[in-house]
Amino acid sequence: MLHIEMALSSRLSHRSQMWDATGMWAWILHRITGLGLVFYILLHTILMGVSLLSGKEGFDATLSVLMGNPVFELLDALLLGAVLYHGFNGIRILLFDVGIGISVSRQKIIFRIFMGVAAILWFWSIALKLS
Amino acid sequence: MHAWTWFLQRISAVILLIALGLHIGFLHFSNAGEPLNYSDIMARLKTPVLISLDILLLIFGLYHALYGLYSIFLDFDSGKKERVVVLGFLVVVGLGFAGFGIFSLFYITRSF
Repeated sequence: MLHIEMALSSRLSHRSQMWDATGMWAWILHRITGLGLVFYILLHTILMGVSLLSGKEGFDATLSVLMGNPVFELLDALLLGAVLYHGFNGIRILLFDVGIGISVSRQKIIFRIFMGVAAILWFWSIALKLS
Repeated sequence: MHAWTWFLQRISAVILLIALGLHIGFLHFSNAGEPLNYSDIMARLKTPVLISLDILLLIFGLYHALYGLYSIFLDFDSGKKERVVVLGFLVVVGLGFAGFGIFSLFYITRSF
């Protein structure tokens, strides 16, 4: 019984360590934003291509729906947030690939700095759009 | 997975960081507050540098996106046949979207 409890405790602790790790969350969020951006680039290519081919009236009508609607503006802000997260976390991965900041402690520092810059850029962009 | 496709994924990431930054900056923040319209886009697309930037963004964006999708697929156990089918499907999707995007960009600038 004690053996089972110890094994379970060790397993839970290991799992908790894994899921608490900054790198694990950074990786999961990179995948989630990546999937969202894959969907977006395909949709954007189709939507912009079709509306441009439909001529001036069709294109302006599409843009007036996309840019004048609060729901789409909120989605735009979320899209920019996803782009900034994916981009800045991507720079961290590129730096890691070339051997910059390999240790766990440095990775955490680099991640926090980049996320700080991304958050500032995100809020600044939203403020600029709202002004 | 081959080393050169992985390397191209990294190269496309660097290109996207620059090209997407310029694309968002030019289109959405250079005239913040002014709604975009067809005439603005046409004027922009008549500039060789900017249409080249859009094509670059389209090609490398699609490569990065679809190769990213393939990398996620590779994280799951799969047989060689499944990998070939998925890769083939993604190549067709990529070529189709790139072809359509480039065609629409050139078609409208030609007819303008």
